[in-house]
Amino acid sequence: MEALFSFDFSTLFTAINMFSIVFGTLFGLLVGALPGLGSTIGIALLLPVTYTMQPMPAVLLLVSVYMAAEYGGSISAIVLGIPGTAAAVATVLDGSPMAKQGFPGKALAYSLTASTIGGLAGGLVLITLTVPLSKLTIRFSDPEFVMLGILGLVCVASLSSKDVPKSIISVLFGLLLSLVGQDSLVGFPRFTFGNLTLLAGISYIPLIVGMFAFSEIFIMLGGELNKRYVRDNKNLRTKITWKEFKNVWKNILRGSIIGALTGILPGLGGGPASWFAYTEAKRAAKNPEDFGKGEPNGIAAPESANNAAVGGAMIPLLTLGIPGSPSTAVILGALMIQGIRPGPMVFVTEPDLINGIFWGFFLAVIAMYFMGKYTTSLWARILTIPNYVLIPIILVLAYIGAYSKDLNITDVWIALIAGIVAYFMRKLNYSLPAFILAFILGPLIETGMRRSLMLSDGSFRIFIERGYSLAILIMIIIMLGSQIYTKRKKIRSNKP
Amino acid sequence: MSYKRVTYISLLICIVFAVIFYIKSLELPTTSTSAAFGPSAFPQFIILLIVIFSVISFFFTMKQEDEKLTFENTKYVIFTILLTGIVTLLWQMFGTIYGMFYLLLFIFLMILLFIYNPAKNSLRKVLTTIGFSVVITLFVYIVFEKMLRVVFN
Repeated sequence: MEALFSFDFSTLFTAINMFSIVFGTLFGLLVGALPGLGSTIGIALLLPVTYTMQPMPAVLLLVSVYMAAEYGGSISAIVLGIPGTAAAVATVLDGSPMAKQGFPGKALAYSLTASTIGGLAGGLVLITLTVPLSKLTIRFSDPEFVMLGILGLVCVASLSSKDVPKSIISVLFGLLLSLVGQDSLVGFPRFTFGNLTLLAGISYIPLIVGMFAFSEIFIMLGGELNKRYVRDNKNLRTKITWKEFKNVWKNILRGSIIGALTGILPGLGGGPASWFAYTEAKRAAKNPEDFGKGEPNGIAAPESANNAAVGGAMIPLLTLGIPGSPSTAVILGALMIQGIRPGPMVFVTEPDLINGIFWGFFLAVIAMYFMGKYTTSLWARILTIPNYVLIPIILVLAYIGAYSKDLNITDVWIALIAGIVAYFMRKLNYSLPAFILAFILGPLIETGMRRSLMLSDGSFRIFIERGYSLAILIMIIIMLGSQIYTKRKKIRSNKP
Repeated sequence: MSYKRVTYISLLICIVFAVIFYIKSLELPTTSTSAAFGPSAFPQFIILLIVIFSVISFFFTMKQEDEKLTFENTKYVIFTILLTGIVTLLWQMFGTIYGMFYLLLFIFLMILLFIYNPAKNSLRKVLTTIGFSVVITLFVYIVFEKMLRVVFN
């Protein structure tokens, strides 16, 4: 914590860092506001820009996109009644009715204020939990990382799709494809089918670009190509009074805590966080019947939660090197391209970068507030761009994004194939986040497991003999048990 | 199209892939001198689970109510995939010629913008298409090649 306050702020307040935050925020607001895109695609599209940058501005750029996209999603949710991101779906319920009553600016002001406080709360949780957790996780070894990887997969498989068996299949295919390439322990080529370019494995940046951006393009093509979303831009001035703020502050606080904690769990992120916060706000309200009719608390609670989840999702990324969401998976990719491997040791090897990210995170929230306050009507106007212009632009950016990591055309093919597969996966309720997280965690789990078994002469007891490993195993069992219990309860309650 | 039927097909494809990977995994050493588990153990375990969960998913889907699965505007989706593939193939074949990427990109954008634009064919539509294609191609050249040093040949 001392290092946090003795940080040399002159390394943060550089022109390139400030530019990264401002540009990232503007881009995040844009991709958030455009229905269908969102933070993961936004970060993936900007990834090529980071290749030639220094690590700090690169990460600040992507974190700013992530943060701003969460608020940006509420712009279309409120103005049009179409959520810009999955995390803004709950916001539609009360944001759209309030806008229809003639107060879109008021609804946006509730959203922006809640998003800002949620973002700051997420940042506080990030700073508060990351350093102690990193001190704990520095004691972790292979058995603990195996267990953490499995815990992440259990969370993402059970919570990221309504069809659990298909989520599990998505996890398993993610794991299987992560094994393509040279075996990390004995160097034996696996599943390369004689293709030399596959010896290094399947590059995950084109895979993410393909699965999220390309598949979204195919989905957008299925919609109306001449669609122009916005009708008018009147009453978009974002301002709430102190009295109005006092009416919602409790739910902003509650939403922020729910969001930050939900964000830590792999596979959840802003979408479920905003639903949890909305449900909790409605449950605790004296006037639950007003929810769905333009109740300010119905906007404030989910919006604070989805921005707080950004800070929460950064915690497992920085302390363990395990991304909690597809968006943080892309940020992990950006860090690895820069030669930085997040995890407990990064706090020792790159303290300036970590502290820069912490403080830069708050700057990103502040930038989101001011840019959101003064540019919201601009984003609403941008929604007038018809899809037939938007789709080719996104396609070209995604295409170049897949190519430019290694300047390799094979990566474009990987992205295209991944996009086609992901298109069908989405149609059939397979889980893309589950697949991607398993793909990233696969090598960590397999290598860790084999190394652990080498140490124990092939005995699986190593996973229960170590205290930390056993504790995580118990968490996995509790997680599985609670899921099974919830499902059984649901089935029973559905029976006549 | 029936959601259930397409799900069954997808599960069958999953099993076929699992079998192909299993056959390939038989070429891998089962044990190694430096590790307690060889390179084949973990993949084979995953493959086994894929088959088991595909079967579970089959029964799970059987119990669900069927719904209609719609694939809207499939002609646009297929056309975009094919065109992207053709452009990538041409780039792979002739990419060493300087400027070929930009020529292909320009043509690619022209075709997409023209096809996607639902307006009636007119001179205005052609000019708009050319205008947007030039601007986007120039944007890619300035931002990616000049500013970010991404080499496309």
